[in-house]
Amino acid sequence: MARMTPGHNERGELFSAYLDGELTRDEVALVGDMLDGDEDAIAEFHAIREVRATLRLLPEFEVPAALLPDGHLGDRLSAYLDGELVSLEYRRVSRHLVDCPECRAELAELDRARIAVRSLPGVDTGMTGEIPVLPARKRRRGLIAGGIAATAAAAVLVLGLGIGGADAPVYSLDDLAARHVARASAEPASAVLPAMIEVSAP
Amino acid sequence: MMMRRVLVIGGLVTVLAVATIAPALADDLSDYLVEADGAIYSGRRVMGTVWDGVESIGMVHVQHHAGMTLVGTDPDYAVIGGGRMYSGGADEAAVSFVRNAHIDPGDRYTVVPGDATDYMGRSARIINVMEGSRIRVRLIVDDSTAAPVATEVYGEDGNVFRYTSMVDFSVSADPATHAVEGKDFETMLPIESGDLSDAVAGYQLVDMYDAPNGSSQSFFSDGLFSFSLFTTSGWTDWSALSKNEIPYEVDGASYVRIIQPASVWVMWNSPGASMALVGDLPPDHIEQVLAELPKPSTRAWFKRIWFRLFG
Repeated sequence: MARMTPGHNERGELFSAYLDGELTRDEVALVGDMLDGDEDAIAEFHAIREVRATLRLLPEFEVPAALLPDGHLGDRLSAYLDGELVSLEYRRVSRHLVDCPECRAELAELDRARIAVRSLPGVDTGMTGEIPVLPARKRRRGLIAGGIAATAAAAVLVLGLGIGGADAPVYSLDDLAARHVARASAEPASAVLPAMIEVSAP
Repeated sequence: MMMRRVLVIGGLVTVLAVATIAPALADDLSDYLVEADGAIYSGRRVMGTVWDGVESIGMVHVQHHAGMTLVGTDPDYAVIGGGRMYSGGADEAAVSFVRNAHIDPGDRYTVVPGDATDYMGRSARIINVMEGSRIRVRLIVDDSTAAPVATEVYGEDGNVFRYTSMVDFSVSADPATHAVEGKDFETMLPIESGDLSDAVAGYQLVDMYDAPNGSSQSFFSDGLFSFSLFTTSGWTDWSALSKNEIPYEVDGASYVRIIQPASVWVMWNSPGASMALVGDLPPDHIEQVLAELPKPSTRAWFKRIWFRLFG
C-alpha cells in the first residue's frame, strides 16, 4: 500500500518522534522507507540524532530536592513499581534509588504491601453477581525467559538442591540465567557485550 | 522497505586491523558505552564463545531502541535493558532489578581509538579496550548510529574468547520500550550482603538479591564484564544438569562448566554450599575469581558418588 510522503517539517517531527519511540508500527515503517536511500532524509535524521546525542551527554541535573516531598521520590515509587514510568523517568528514579537508602527502604515497603494486597483472597459479601477477585501474584521465576528459551524449555535443566529426594527444592538454570541477564542489563557495558541469548542452558 | 544490508561474516576478519596505539582518557569507555546504549538499530546478531576448543554459537534478531533491546520475534521475544527484562508469549513474565551502585570501567580499562574502517558498507571505527598493556576487547562501532556492530573479547592467551557481529543491519527499529511500559514487574530489591568479600579479583560486589528457593544472587562487575554468583546451602548434583557439561580444573580443584554463546557457567559444591557462577567474563578472569571464592569440597565428591549410587 502506498504511503503518504511527509513534507520537510513533518519529516523532522516524524524523526523526532521516532527517536522518542512514539511512533506506531506503520509510522516506523514510513521512517524506514524515508531513510532508504534518500540522502537528504538520512542527513536530516543524522543531524537530529546528533543534536539529541549531544543533549544526552550534557550533565543531567537531579530534580531539586525542594520540588520533591522531603527530597525523595514520594508517589513516583508506586509508579516505578507499577511499570508506569517512561524509560527516561525510569532511569532517573533508578539513579536516585542507587544513592538514597530511604527511598530504597520505602520502595521495599511498598513492594511488600503490594504483594500482600495481591495475595488477599476475594471477599464473599453474600451478594449475588460477580465480585472481582484480586489476582494472586503470579509465580514467574521459572518463566522469565520463556519466550526466548522456548527451544530449550524441553531440556531437563531442573536442579535438585540439597542431597536430593522428592522434597528437595528445585530451580532451573534458565531462571537463574534470566535473572543474571536482567540485572546485568542495568550496567552500561551490556550495550556492547550483549548477554541476551543464553537465557537457556544446553 | 527498511534499509538492510547483508554481511559476509568472514569479512570481519579482514576488517580488524591492528590499531595505532595512543593514550586516551580513562572515562572514554564510559562515553562509548553510553553512546552504544542510546543507539537505534535492528538486525541479526551472531554470537559465539570459544573456550578450550569448544565453541558455542547462536544467532538472534535484535532491535535496540532507547536503551532497551528486543530479542527474538513476536510472540517469542524478550525485552531487556535498564535492569528490566520482559518476556512475551504464553509465559509472559517481567522482572526488574533495583541496583545499589555503579562501577566505573575506567578503573580497570582504558580505551585506545583504532583505525577508521568499514563494516557492511557503512563507515565505522575500531575501538580497542585495553586492560593494562593487553587488549581485552575490540569493538567496531558504526559511525552514524554508534551501534557496536562487532565485538571481540580476548583471553589472556591473545585468542578470541567471544565474538558478536551483526550480520544484517538497519538504522531503524521498532521502539522496544513500548513492550515493557505498563507491564507488571516483579521488583527485586537489594538485600544485605552476606559473607562474601566486597571485591573478588577486581570485581566489585555491587549488590545481592534473594533468588529462588532460599538461594541468593550476588552480582559482581568490574564496569565491563559482570557475573552473578548464585549460592544456596546444601549440595547440588551438578552432574545431573546436562550432558554438555565440561570438566574444568583450576589449581587442582574440580568444577563443571557450560559454555554458551555469550556467557559461561561454572558450578561447584563448596563445604556447606552450592555455587553457580554465570557471566560474560573471560577465562583468565574466571580463574582469578575462582581462586578467591570458596573451593570445591572433596566431601562433595563422596556425596556425588552416593547420589549416583543410591539416588
